[in-house]
Amino acid sequence: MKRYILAHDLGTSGNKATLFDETGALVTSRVTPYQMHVFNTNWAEQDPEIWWKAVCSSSQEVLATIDPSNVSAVAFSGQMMACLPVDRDGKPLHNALLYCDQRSTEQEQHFIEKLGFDRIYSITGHRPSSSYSLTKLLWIKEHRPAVYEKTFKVLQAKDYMNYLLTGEYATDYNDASGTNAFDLSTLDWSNEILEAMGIPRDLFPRAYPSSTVIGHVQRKASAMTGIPEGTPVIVGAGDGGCASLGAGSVSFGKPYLYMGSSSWVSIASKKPLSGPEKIGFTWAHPVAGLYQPCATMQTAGGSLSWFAQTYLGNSDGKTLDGINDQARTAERGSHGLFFLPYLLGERSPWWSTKAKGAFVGLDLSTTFADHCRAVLEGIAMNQKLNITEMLSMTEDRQVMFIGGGALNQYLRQIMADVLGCEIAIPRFLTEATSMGAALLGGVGSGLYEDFSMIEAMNPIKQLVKPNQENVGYYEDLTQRFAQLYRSLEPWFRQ
Amino acid sequence: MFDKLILSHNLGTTGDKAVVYDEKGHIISSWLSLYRVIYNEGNEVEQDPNDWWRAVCESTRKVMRGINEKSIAVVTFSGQMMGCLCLDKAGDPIGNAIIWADMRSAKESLQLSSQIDEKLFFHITGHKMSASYTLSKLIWIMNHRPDQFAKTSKIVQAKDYIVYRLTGSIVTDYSDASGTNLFNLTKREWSRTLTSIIGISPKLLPEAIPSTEIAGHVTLEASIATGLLPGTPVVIGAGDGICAAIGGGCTTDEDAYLYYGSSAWIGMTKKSPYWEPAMRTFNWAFIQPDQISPCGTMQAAGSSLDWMKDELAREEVNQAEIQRTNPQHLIEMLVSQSPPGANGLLFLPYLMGERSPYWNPQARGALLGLKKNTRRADVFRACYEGVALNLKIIWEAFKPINKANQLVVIGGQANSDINKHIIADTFGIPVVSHNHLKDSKNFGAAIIGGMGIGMYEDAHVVKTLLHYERIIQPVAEHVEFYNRLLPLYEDVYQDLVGYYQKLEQFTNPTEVPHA
Repeated sequence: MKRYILAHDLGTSGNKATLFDETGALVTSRVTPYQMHVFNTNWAEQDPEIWWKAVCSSSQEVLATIDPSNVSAVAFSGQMMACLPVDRDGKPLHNALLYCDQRSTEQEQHFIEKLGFDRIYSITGHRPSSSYSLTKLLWIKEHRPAVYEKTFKVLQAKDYMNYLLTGEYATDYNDASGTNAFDLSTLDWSNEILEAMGIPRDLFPRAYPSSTVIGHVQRKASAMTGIPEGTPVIVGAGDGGCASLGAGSVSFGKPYLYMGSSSWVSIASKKPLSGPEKIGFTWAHPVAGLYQPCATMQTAGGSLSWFAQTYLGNSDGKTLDGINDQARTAERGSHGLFFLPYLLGERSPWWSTKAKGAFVGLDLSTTFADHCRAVLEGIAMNQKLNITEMLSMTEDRQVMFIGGGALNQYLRQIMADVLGCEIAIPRFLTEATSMGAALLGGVGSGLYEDFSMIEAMNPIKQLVKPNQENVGYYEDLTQRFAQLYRSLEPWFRQ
Repeated sequence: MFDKLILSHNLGTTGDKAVVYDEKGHIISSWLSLYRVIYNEGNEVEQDPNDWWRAVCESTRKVMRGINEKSIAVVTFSGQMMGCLCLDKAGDPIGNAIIWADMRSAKESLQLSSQIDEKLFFHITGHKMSASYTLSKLIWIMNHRPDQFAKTSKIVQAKDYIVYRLTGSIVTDYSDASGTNLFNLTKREWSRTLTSIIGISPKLLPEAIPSTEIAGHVTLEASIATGLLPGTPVVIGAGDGICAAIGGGCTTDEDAYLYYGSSAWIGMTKKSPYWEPAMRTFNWAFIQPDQISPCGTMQAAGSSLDWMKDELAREEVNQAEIQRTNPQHLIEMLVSQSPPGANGLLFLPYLMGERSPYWNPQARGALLGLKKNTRRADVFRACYEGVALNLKIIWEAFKPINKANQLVVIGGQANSDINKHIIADTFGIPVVSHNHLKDSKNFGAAIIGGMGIGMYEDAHVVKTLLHYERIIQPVAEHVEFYNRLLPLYEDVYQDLVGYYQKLEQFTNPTEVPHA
């Protein structure tokens, strides 16, 4: 008999429901889009009601293609770092403040003053920032006291969906580690932080391993979603964590690179990052017992499409191919031309909102082809800086490459040469988060034996070996790249 | 009775342009004959002096079509400067000429700087010591081509060689002499201090005479080659930097001009040298002994814009072909769509290293401040502004001696209105150009030639011969903006200096010294 996992990927632009069968094959999927409400320059909210409506309609649509009683489990991948206060009856008291909402910068300052930057990083694995849930909650406490007073729980997006399905308040280690209030070493809410900031710890739901069954679909929710009553609900994980699973990073080591408009590198490790430069940050891994160090850059594919648009007037696939063709004709190192891909400032490795993009090293013999190659090399070298500490944790030198950017054949080779690693391209490049959720659902419900199931779900299709004579060259070049940024840092700050 | 016409040559880097003028300065005819630039590994840039001569013969014949040779009252020259051409006893070239753009002698220049105090050097020659000049190129020849050096009887500049071919006499003029790094600027003679430091006989250097002096007359042999009448007076003329000054109408203490071609410079005409404290600018000898032309030259001005057009504006180039228009026109339409400051984008125009204001051959170009919303128009505007801001630094360096209340802009880029607006706004001064933009060097040389035969009393005559165009006024609000932008522009270069140095070591690792 066919069995299915219903995986939801609850993002900021829509919810995607996907069915996977017992062999791990992707059966069908539906996306229900919704909007983000951005206002006051940098405030960003969503009404949780639109999430739920999207979950209901997309569930019904995919379940219409099968016998719903064959669904073994439901599991979510969810957008992270949000702040949704609900009352004692589970009713939202305010729109959810999303990860990109930056209104709580004053609270961030206060947070840092209270506990110290380094201390917060060592407890939570993350830099203190207004991006995370805690300072958003502090903002609500200060500016919306009536809301705060009635707040019974503070939830992440997927946790609220799980609550509506099961009536249970719960979260998972991975999502909890994106709040700036979770202690990575104890895998529990940090007393030190919560006490210092005057937040009662029972405002946060209990955190579980990501593959835990936290309840079953209740009658009312069943009627709305079409998921049979009693179907097990697995707590799931944040989308960052689920992407790791989908990229096959399910056991120690296994570095991978995601590249869409932004890009990150990540790995499964036994301990959090601890480098003094704090280039990256660390999530609790959805596979219990592991950590997930991560470093993320703002504009990777975004740099490439910007370059295509600005320099060639178009950013379609044909134009991007044209850029690759040009880049192929340029020599490695682009004739001394460097591109700094900081078009939106940068997170890892520099953590500067002031950083800007640049082409440096022009002379009269610099060609357009050099520009094309410099853009690709600049993106790759930034990720080389980001992945270095992670690679020091493992012997693995094969990096899985996922996301839309991995479609770029030429970039695969540049990445291999610059990172000095073999690049592995899996069958599905843009389904990682749904697959990660499905994997948690399958493992949690017993349909899949263990996490290695991902190898069947998303097998490797191509391996790209680094050109050994370029590896040392790019190691050196990456040092120049870093020096260039440091030289310009004082200027960016002006 | 024949007209009194002036045949004026400008021996540039890419070709020789011959222009025939009448007494009123009207162009009767003109012709450009091109020649090769020979680029070799290691920043070597040479030209074959025989190519110069062939081009001068050809352009003379072409420009004289329909003109009676008897009407040519004088032949005169503007020439590329700072080169090094060795002639043997017979007056024949020994090898190619090393031209101004050649930077092979960086090491020689560095070595020399350990032998003499740079301030003292600056006060003797009026220039910084640099591989751009004749001196350091000559030392390179002494070190690397001793056989060639042993045969050398005279070291001359481009126009001097051509004048020699025309007249049989080997001389140079004050201005070209002042571009060799070997000339005592205030005494107007070859520096004994410098010739003795490098150990050459002053006899290797030709006699330096005022630019307006008749060097000789066209010989029979030269007459056959060029079609000029034997006995036609040849006035030695001046280096192109000086000819441009006169062509720009810059003859008094109150004048200033900007030559904006491939390279660009700001020049003035003063009674005495300008000892710029940071030595960012330098001094040419003017045509007669009592005047000096302080000057600051940047390397890649119009060349930066040409580079941008060739590498980054292919779309506009293609469009221009379809529309049968000039790509510059399409580019500048975009430039005008971006606001002053190009939305936070800065361009450093150091695509050939830089002379003024930094004298740093390691400097490189950069486009800085890219953001997600940076548009094509911003990139183009930044390039235009980058050149103007670099020139503004030179302009500022002249502040203590600058009495100009308007700036004359000449050279190929003076055709561009948007460029003149950007210059007016960055400098904060009214900008004007005239009807001899593209032939300004020839025109300046013609004035010198006319003075040499008594046709003109002095160089001030140029002001009556030029027709000035509409004055472009600076916009106060933009001036204020660029004043605030300038420190940011200067800072980013300073931030990159150390990086350029490291990059140089990376791309050109120092050779392992022999034991």
